[in-house]
Parts: sequence; C-alpha cells; structure tokens
Amino acid sequence: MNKGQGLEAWLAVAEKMNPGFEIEDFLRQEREKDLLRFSTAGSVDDGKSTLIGRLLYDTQSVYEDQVRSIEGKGTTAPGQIDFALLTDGLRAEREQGITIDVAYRYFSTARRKFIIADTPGHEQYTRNMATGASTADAAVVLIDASKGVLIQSRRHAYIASLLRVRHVLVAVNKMDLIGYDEQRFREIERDFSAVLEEIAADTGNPVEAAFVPVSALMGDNIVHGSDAMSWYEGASLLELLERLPSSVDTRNEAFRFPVQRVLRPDATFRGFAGQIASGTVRPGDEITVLPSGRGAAVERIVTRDGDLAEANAPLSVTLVLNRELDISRGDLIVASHAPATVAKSLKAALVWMDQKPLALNRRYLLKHTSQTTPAFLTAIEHRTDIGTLAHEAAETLEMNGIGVVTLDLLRPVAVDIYGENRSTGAFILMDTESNATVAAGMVTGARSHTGSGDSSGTALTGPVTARERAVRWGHRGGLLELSGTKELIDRVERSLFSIGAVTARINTGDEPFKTRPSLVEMVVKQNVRSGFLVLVAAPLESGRLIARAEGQEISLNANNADEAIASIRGLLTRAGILRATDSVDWEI
Amino acid sequence: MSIFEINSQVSAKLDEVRAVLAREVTGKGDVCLTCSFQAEDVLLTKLALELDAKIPVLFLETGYHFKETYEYRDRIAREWHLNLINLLPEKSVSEQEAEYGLLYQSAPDQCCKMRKVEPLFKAVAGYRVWLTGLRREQAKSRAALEESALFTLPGGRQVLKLAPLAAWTTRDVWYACEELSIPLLPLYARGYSSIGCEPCTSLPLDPNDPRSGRWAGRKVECGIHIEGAPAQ
Repeated sequence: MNKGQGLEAWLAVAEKMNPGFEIEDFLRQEREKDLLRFSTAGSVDDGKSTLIGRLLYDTQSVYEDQVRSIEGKGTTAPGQIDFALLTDGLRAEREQGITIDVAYRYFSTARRKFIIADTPGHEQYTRNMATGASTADAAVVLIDASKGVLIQSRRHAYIASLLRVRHVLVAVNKMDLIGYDEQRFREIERDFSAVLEEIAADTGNPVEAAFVPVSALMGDNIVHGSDAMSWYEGASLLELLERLPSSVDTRNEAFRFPVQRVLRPDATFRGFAGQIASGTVRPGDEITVLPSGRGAAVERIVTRDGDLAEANAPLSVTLVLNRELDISRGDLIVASHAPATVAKSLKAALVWMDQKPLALNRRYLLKHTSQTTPAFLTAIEHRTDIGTLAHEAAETLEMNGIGVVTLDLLRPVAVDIYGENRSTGAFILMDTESNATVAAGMVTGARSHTGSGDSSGTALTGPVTARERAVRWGHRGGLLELSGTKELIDRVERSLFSIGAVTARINTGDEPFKTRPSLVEMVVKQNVRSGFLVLVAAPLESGRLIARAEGQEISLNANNADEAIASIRGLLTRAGILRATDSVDWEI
Repeated sequence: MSIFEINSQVSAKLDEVRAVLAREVTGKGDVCLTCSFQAEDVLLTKLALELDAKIPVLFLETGYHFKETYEYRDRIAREWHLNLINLLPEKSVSEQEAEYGLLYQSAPDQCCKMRKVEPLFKAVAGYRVWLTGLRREQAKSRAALEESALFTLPGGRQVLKLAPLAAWTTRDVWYACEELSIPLLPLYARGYSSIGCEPCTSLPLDPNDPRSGRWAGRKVECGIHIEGAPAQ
C-alpha cells in the first residue's frame, strides 16, 4: 500500500536527523503520538475548502497525483493551485455511492495526529456541525475578512460552545483580499471576542478562543508564517492546533458503560460487551445497572488480549459480574458511588436539523447511547435567536434552530447532564418513519423517575401496581378487538409492538378459544389486569378492518394499512390505553 | 316567499354556520360531532367535513336502530369517508335482554341511560368541543337551547357544546339539504319526523310535534341533552 507523501517525507527527514533510525521505532512513535480531533464549519464561499486543502498540501498529506490532477484547473490565477478543488475532489471521491454528512480527513505532523471532521458549507451545516463537533476537541470557525462576522459564524461558535468544544480557533480568512490590513483584523477580533463571551454566558460553557489572520489561498499563517503580515506575532493555525491540550481526558469522570451486547457463549460465561463511555473500571468495583437499579461487583474485565486490571474510556471491553443480573442491550452500567439519573422527563438544549420543523407532541425516537425509546417533545422553553442571543417564546424550531425543550420518554433512560458527561448527556432524535436524524440534544436537566426503576437502587416492595406497569411499558392494560384479514391484524400488532407496547394476542379461531369462547373473557381479564395490551383477533378472509376498544368501534379501509394503523392508535389513545401525547403523567 | 328568496336565505344561514364552525374546528382532533344520521346531524356533518375531513363523528350504536338507519349510516360513511366512531354500550343487546328483559318497555329511562347516555358522556369527555345538530323547534324541552354553552359531564369535566343549527326551522334543514344535495334517511319518506331506536320510535302522534312519536309519548328526551340529569 502506498503510504503517501506524508509518511515518506517523514521517513526521509527522520533518517537524516537520526542516523540509527529504525522503522519499528518510527512506527511506535507514530502510534504513540496523540490525536486531536477538530471540526471545521464555514459558510459557502468563505474559503473552508481552500483552507483544508492548504493544510493537507502544506503538511504533505496528499498524493502527488492528486495535486497533479488539479494543476492548471480551477478559478485561481495562473501558476496557483486551487486548493478547494483538492478538498472537494477528495470529498467527491468519498461521496461516491453513499451520502456522507461529515467527511473525516486525517493528517499528521511531527508532533501530533489530526482528524478533521469536515462539515460541508451548505445549508445543512448544522447537522454536520453537531454530529462532527460532538466528538471534537476544537473547532475552527472561519470568518471571511472581506465580509466580517456573519450570522453563520455566530451559529458555528454557538453550537461549538453548546457542545462544550472548549477551544475555538477563529481563522480570519481572505486577508489577501483586504491588503493584509491589521486594523480590520483587530476589529473582527474585538467584535467576535465579545460575541464569544456572550455565547459562553448563554450556554454556560466557557470558550477559549484564539484568532489567526490567514490567507488559505496564499498560504499565509496556515502552516507557515506570513511575510505579508509581519504585524502578527502569534502562531500559525497549524502551530496552534499542535499546541492545544489533547483529547479531553475522561478517565477521572464517573464510570459509564452502555451495554451493547450480552455475551453468553456457554452456560459458564456471561459477559456484557460495550465501549466505556467515560471513567475507569477495575475488578472489584461496585457497579449499578440502570434503569433497574440492581447492584453487583465487577469480577473480570475481558478483552481479546486477555483480562485487564484496569480499563479506561474509550476502550471496548466485556465485563463479567459477580452476580447473575437481568441485563440487556441499552442498559447502562455505572459506578455505584456516582450513578446516573434515571429519567422519563428531560430538559435539553436542542439543535434542530430537519427540513420539517419540530412538532410538539409528535412521536420521535430518542437514541441515547445504545438504546432507542419513543419520545414526545412536550414544550419549547425558549428559542435562542442566534443574532441577538435573546431567548424568545416559540411553538416550533425550524431547520438550524436552537432552543431548550422538555421531553417525555416512553421508557426511562439513565442520563447525565451534558455538562458532566458528553457521551451519556447527549442524544439524537430520529423521525419514526424515515429514521432520519432530526435533532441533536444535550441534556440540561433530568427529572428523577420514581417508578419501578428507582435510581437509588433500593428495591420497591409490595405488589406491582397498574401504575408501575404503565410507567414501564408506556401503556395501560387494555383490550383491542379486531376483525379483519390476518395480514392486516399482524401489521397492527407489529406497529404497536414497534412502539414498545407489550401485546398479548388471542385468535378466536384457535383452540381452546374456538370451542370454548367463554375462555376468551377470562384470559382477557387476567391479561388486562397484568397490564398487557390484549389483541383479540377474529380473522376474516377479506373486507374492512373493524376495531373496538373501550366502547368505541371504528370501521377501516383495509386497503390503506397505514391510515388504519394511525386510526387504531388514535382509538387506543382516546380509550386511555396508549398515553395521550399531552399528558405528562399517568393518572391511574 | 318565493323559492328564490328561501334559497338565498338558506345560503346566508349556511354561511353563518360555516363561520361558527370555522372558529372552533381546528383539525387537531379535539372537536367531535355527534350524529344520529337524522337530517340536521347529517347536514352539520357535511359542513364540518368542509373544514376537517377527519373530524370524529360519534354514533350511538345502541343495537336497536332501524335496519334503514344502519344502511344509511354505512352508505354515508363510505361515500363521505367519515371518521366514524360507533359508541358501544357496555352490554350487548342480548346480554342486556338476558339480564333485565325488555328494558325499553319496562324502564326506557334505564335503557337510554345504559345504551346512549353513558357511552356518549364517556366518549365526549375526551374532546374539547362537542358539535350537535339540535334545534329549538324540535321540542318544548329544547326551546331554551343555546347555540353555545359549557356542558358539565357527570365527572365534573366541562366541554363546549355547540348547536349551530339551534335557531333553524325544519324547513331550513330540508332546503339546505336539498341545496347541498345531501341524501336523507329514507325513513322520513315513510312519515317519521324524529328517528331513534326502532322499538321506541313510531309515526308522530301529533303532527305539530315532531318528537311526539318518540317513546310512544312517555318521554321526550333520552337524557343526553338534559344537563345533570343522569344519576350515577
């Protein structure tokens, strides 16, 4: 495999500087170099592609044939290379056949390795910014010196601050277009510093900013210094990136381990596989499984390369516990001394990313660590006007809108405040039908959920109540009678099952119900009392679908299954079996 | 009055009703309409559909309606794509008759309570607004009917009950139905003027009182439209 310009160049340099150079040593050093992730976001035409192209070119991270392929093309003056073509060419390469929201680029210098989450500068940048920046250690915000601070630059900085990206490098680009004017640069520096202070005050997350006057096109202050701007005594953009403190160390944060898989190869071994989201774990540590609240101790930390005496984020491991506990995918294993909050009601800062505006009380899917649960947006506390940072009342958030909302979840999840933990405090919202990501969220508050999954870990006593069942399952016990084709009834049950309903199915045509119809009533009663959503199905060969619940009957067109399913959900909501979207709690 | 004058009057009245409906019908599913499939209710249904094609239309499926009523209901539901919700009593006709005998003969109030009043109040409680085709002219008991009033359900919950046709005459209803080409329940053609459950509906005893054929003159209201009447 061609290692490319960067590596070859470094091999040559290293050999010159160190006559006893060994390839093994080099590779070890390369592995041990630390990694910095940063995101870039820019508006159209502010020169972001050129800047990335210049970074890659000047650090010798692109292949020569890639440079040759663009020489003499593009919109720049004769003899110049259009670096934007380089970036966009790479992007186009990556985009073949698949849609990429965020393109990652890698390059490395003598001091450190870098990953750029390159977020294209078109109107969907918010999505890219939020998904790209959420793992970033730094954000490079571009400002076009000839245009000054535009609303997009404010938005980028705001989102970066919201996501707790502490270091913001402000590249004031296109200095060549304004004659490398220091005064103009200082104005922008002063104006945008004030903006950043206001932003930090609003989000509550401190922002550390550095300003660099650059010309990506001419190469000023990107990798090398600038003769044209001798008045600037600071470091180049790359030097600043090399000096930033490296990846946020989460080793000292509370231990969080979202369970991705339960491994049970044979009767003697039972392990829980996942990636440590934060903190450190050692054998003997007391842990609690959320949301159930059950406790155990870690017995072993198993990896492919043998057991470990200690493991830190972001390592992927398999934990073996000293007790048999009922644990499944989506559960969160936490340090018992610092548990997460089990909540069914959240307050969160939300960045809306979808063309379709936010709809209150509509069902969305909330994906948090390794689990997904239906969720309703119950209220918008305020929307933030990015221009003025004013909080304004709002009924919805449009694409790229930012606000604070409250959410109700159908099942409890174990969360942390985003300010305390970036992985267990973040979530995304997805559309239930298309599964498209519609928003990124940062938990700012969580109401502790005092139902069956008490985060204190104390087991509740006494009989399980109807309310506890309803809280856990997201619906009350109830009866839905259906007559229609088996296929359609199957689809109705599937749709209820898919939103987390615990269904029980009785086909009246099956034994023993066929010969003893009176059994149906008995079985239904028991199951409804146990909190199940009982479907009594009387299959027909053809014809309309009739659905009955709680004394209401509807007759539905069998040819439009989606509409029929929506009507049945409406029926179950009216009947009080499924929870009405606007009610905050169960009244049972 | 010429036919032309009547028609223009009816058009103006229809527009008034449309204006009332437009204020309340949101399309959010918080407004329901009760429909007996008698002329005034079907007229109101037609007008409400102009604003919300999916408005919940509640029908009291007592199990005792005329065969013609069921056929007409199904035809209208099919042709107008109604979001029809049949409200069912707790007990089926056969269960009730096995337990209590023919209540409509022995205790019609009791029968109405179980088959009409209770299922309706339970269902209406789920809505903010309740639309009905009631008219003052229908009976003395309805003479004080208001077009808009808060109605208190047995549980204490209040719904806004709207009767946009309150001031309409029977004649207005006929002309409006004709103007909007609404087919009517065929039982009218056989001389019925107020139509409910088959056992409790006969031809009117007094030609000047349209509801005189209901409950064979023993009562005039089932209990739904008398606030606070139903006991627990």
